[in-house]
Amino acid sequence: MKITIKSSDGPKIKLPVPANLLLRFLAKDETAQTPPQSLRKVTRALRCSKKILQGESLVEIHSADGDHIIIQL
Amino acid sequence: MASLQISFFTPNRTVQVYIAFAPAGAEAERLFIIMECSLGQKIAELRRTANITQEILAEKMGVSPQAVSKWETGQSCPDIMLLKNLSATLGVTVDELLSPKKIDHAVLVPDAQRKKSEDMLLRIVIHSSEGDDIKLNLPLLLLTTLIEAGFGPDSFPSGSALKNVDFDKIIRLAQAGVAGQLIEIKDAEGDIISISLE
Repeated sequence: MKITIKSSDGPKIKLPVPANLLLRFLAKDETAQTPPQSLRKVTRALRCSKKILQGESLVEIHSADGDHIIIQL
Repeated sequence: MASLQISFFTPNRTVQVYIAFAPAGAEAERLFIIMECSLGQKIAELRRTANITQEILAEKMGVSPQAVSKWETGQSCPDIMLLKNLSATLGVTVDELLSPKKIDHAVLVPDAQRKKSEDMLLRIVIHSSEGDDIKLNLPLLLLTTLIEAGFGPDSFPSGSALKNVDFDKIIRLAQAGVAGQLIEIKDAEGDIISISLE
């Protein structure tokens, strides 16, 4: 997963975040008690989603101030 | 075939729902059908938008008005050498001219043309009145798996705009073969939220 942050006046920051790591972090949240089996399913779905998205971003935020946040798988 | 646009006005928001109805006699479940748009239809639509007559377009392209008429009725296609000039005259790119028309309303896609629901994308676009734009492209496969794994709307923080979205219903619509823009909401603050399935 690639997270790109570009502020209007600052540098462009690219953060490659392993999706697995992020999922494990989210799963530790008390509200979402996710069994490891489900996590594996999500990982598989993420891999397939990459093909479905064909380079398109998962989330794109363009603020009025000129800041951009783009999340790609 | 009839197309229907329903607008609901409430004190806080305007909701627009686009529905295309199948002709009488079609299967009851086929309430929505896909609207195909050929190159000819697109040329005719763009020509009318640009306020150009068939004669003027023909003159600009160096062909007869009958040739333009034939393009628009689908009896023939413009020569490949004319595409660049034609698209420029109509105010679009060659790519836009040749690309299939984007479905901008909900339709029921026939079985033969239907994508698998797992290969579909749920697009949520939010244009805030303050000028912020948020785009979410969620593959349905990922959405379904996330909900099953407990990362569904219940786990969203309270106050999240997506908390009240009925994702189960959207997934069921996709499985039934519905595609296109499902809903467009404009709230009192001027934010526009659009949800579509592709």
